[in-house]
Amino acid sequence: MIGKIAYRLALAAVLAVGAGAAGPIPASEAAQAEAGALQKLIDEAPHGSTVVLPAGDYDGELVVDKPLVVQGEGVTLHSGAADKPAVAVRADFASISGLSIVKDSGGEAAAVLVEGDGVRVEGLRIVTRTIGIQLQESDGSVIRNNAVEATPELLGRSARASERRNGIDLYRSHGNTIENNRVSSMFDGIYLEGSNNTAVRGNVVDFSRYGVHLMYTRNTEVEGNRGSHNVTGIMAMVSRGGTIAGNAFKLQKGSVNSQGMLFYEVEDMQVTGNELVGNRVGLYIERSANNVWMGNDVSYNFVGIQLLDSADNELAGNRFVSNVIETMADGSAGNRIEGNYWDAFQGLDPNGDGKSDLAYPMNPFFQRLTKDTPAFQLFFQSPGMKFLEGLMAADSADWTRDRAPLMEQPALAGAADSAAEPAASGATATAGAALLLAASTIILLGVRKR
Amino acid sequence: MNAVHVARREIKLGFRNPWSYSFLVLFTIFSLLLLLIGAQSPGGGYTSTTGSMLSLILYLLPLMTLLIGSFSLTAEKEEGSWQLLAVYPLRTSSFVFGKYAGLSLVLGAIVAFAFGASGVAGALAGGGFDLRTLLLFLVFSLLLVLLYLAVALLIGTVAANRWQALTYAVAFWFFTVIGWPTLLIASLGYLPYLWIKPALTALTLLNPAELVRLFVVVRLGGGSILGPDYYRWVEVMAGGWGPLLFAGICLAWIAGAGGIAVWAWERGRRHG
Repeated sequence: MIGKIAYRLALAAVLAVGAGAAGPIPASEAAQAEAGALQKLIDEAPHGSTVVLPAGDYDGELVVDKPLVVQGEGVTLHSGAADKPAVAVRADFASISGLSIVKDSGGEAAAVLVEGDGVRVEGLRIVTRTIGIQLQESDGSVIRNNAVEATPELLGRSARASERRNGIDLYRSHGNTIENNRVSSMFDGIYLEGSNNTAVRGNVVDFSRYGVHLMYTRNTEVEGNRGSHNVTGIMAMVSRGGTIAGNAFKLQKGSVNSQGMLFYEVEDMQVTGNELVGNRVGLYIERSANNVWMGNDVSYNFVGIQLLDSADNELAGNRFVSNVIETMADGSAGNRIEGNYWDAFQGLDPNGDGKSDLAYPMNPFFQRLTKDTPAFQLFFQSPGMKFLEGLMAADSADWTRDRAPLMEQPALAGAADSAAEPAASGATATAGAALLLAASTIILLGVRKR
Repeated sequence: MNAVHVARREIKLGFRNPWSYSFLVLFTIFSLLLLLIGAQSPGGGYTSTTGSMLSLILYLLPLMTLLIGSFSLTAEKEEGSWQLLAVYPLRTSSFVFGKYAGLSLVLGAIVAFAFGASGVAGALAGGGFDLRTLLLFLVFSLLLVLLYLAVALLIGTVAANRWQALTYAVAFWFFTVIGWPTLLIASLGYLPYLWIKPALTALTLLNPAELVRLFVVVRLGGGSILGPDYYRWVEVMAGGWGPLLFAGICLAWIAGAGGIAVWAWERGRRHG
């Protein structure tokens, strides 16, 4: 107990002097009976060596403040301190791998805090009520093969956002790689703020708020990530440059604000070959310019694409199939939109070049109506709404339009051919026969003379 | 004599009526067409395919129901059979309820026959509806029949003859199915902004087409598209008590329209 207090005082003193530059904490002062033993191993190891932590369950927190390779296969670390991360990596070029971490303290301290540059965090399993892995001004680090999930009572269901923290959180950290991690039931799966040149590849995020959230970033490369049941798959806001390619986000339709991908004030981004299937809105684009959306598969969403007040973008070779409403576009006449496939559009191709000579105009009536009065959203796909839209089609000069829509679906890698499982025709046939029989019986009873 | 007699007579009359058979053929062909549309892009849940099928059913079925239902009542007046029935010790409510039950069975048989045929045809040809979709459309159609039939009785009561009934029926169909958004957007625009949503919600409860359509959309998992304004309604309707609550609303609707019909019919009987 006294040791614990001493450790806290020491830590407070160290933090007051300046966090990143903390010297090694003397083993005698490090407390927490069991985690203290691990800390001692770390403290005693020479610079650049490998420390293999002995397997077992430990209570407490660890600090890595010199370039070590810390391996913790079979180690489970429980941290209940609200003000300290379970593992703090303060040194440049340190690495940590293999641990299981349970951080059920709440509070603001992350499960794993990385402050050094060139750090590797690999193969951790983190169950946490706070941020999973947090990078603060860390450059050139690699976060790979980790699993971050919420504590069991929050897993797999939609909880209040205030109960959750981000899975992997980068703040003013540049040139990092976030690869093959799995995040479930957190706030934002992977959150980048003011961080440039990050590669986010092959991660899986589900049951969280946003899958990948970019805020004020530049040149982020988001590739091959997957997710489902989030509010939004990829949320790019006020960001420039980079690519978003080959990601797949599905079934994000539970929330009234959900979508596959959202772009707000985004510039110079290449968005290619993504799959957005079964979401409330497939692609939501607002006030963005000079981006390219190409070869994306947007299918089975309630709204295919919502395109608002955007200009100078290119939208080509995308596939829009079986969306309840294909487009809600307004104020976006100044884009190069050409050669997309819209299954609800009947084109005309007299010269046989595979592109329609008729343009596909996008009626902005419903978008304008519901923007002014959201209550009218109740008329979504009402048969009378289509009638009214038809009446309001006179002034179509300023509409957004696809100049030359494709006549046939483009072949896209990984395109969803069908969201359905093969129909069980036996059951349908039986039910159909039963219905026929019942109907015929009623009819016969009716016409029978008696 | 009681409601059961009236209902049985109604079924008998219904299936001797050539109108019923032309609607039977029409709706069967129509549901086979839905099958073809559905086969083009299969998929569960709320997609463009299920959305357009709902719209197509909304175009045809309410009109069919209104015509068959209201004509059945005006025929009683025009052909003099009501004058005959009125001398029997038959309560007006039994008469109207019997009519309603009988006509429900006639229309239900037509709808069941059509979906049964397309279910069998789809299964034989391969790639038809899956069972869930078939049943959902069946329920959707039956709900439309039940609600619009109550209105049809009201129209049949008010109208003096077939031609009046035709006019009223088409008008009601047009304003509830086709002209509804136009009507509401135009008229609610004059209300203060904060009144629009409550007014819209209340008016939607009065429109059987929108009521049933929205319920089915929510049950298909499409509730989130209605936006944050209707979050609570959607949550309730999508939940376990949703169908029960909705059944309650439908019953209230039918009882309301039917009650007015009984009252008006009774008044006509007294005052001759």
